[in-house]
Amino acid sequence: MVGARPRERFEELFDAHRDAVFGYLRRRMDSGDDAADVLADTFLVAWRRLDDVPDGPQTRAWLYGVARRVLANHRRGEGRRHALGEKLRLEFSQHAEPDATLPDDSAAARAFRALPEADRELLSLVAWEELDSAQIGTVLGISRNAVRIRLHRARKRFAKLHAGFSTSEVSYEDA
Amino acid sequence: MKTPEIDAAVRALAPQHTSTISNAAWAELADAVVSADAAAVRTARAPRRPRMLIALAASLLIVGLVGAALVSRPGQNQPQALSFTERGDKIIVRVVDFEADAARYTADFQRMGLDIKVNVVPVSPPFVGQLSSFSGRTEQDTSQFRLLAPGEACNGTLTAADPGCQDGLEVPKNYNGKSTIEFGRTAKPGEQYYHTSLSATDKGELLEGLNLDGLKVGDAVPLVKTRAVQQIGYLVETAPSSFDDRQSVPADWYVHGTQTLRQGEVSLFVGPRPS
Repeated sequence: MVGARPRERFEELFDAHRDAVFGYLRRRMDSGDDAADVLADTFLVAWRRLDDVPDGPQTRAWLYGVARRVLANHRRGEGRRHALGEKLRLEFSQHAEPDATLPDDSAAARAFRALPEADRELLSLVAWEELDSAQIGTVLGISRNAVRIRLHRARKRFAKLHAGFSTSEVSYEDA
Repeated sequence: MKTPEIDAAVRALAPQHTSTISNAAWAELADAVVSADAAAVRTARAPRRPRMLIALAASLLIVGLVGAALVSRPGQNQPQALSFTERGDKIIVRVVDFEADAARYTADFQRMGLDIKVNVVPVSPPFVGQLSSFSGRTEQDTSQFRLLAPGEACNGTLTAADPGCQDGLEVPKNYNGKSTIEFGRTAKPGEQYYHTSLSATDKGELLEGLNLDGLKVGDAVPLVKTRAVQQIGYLVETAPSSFDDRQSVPADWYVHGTQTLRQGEVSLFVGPRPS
């Protein structure tokens, strides 16, 4: 990658990872319209910091890490509305309304929702994005060892909550 | 539940989106990023989708001091567990009575017209009395909240040192979601924590201040025993992110980390080599 012209390198990176980053954001945001802004901001960061983007399996993890921080800013109301990608925005709002209109009341869904956000993010980085410990470390900015320890705890908490919800279906009153 | 079962259950919860984006739209975005860069950015946020307004009484309680929140209201024979303060288009919620049960917190939210249920969960000592997490049906239910740190957005001259300005929650007045928040209480003996520190050596935890990472097990255990620890377990990584619980390990193995999941119980993450 070293020596590649910046624009070519960016386009290669963009083509290879745009669907994955879009998927990452769509699974964490209700509005496709807002996801377009966060996606644009994410790739804007990648373009400006092209020299910092790692190669190989860490590229996608690095982009998820940026997307995660941009999304956090967006949720704090610090996001921006872009003139970038109006066609993209139009396509997002036409086709990308959330599918799930009813909450999933299975024990697994309730256990997942009851977890702290940090646990949900860890478990979904494994199960939804299929990242390994090293990649998750890159996304979250922590060591592999810390990832393994936190993941172990998150799975334990999930299993405990799941067991609790599985045995208390009758008393559930929020349906 | 084993690790593969947990991962499969979570995988099945991934929200499904079937939209496809045309190559032309992708190309437009890539071009805009590299050519226009920041110049193409407008700073104003798009107005969010209109939300259903919840009618709130005009006489929303504005609390200047914690004491004011303890005044009983008609039809209510218990003081409030939470205080509510209006601030612009937001309501600042803070805990007044740390010993109140979950039903009282939920009732307080209901009185404010907010569909927020409170669960009280066992937590390790530094998390007692804190709002520890919140969840909803969708991201929209929870993205409207913001957790406030002690001292943040306090009333008057209250600071992080005042009991009336500990953890709080900022909720929009027109909150239209349905959610559950978790609040930490002291765990009973034997009860597993729902939330605990990253390490058992963190502030407020059983092994606060000890530095065990990198020590041999034989050297670490006597240090652990200087604290109020009734039980020591060992966690050995057998595959990535998969740990076996063991009652004993060789004394010349190394400590990689610590955790505490119950009162008086400590687990050491260990392995034959330093981490």
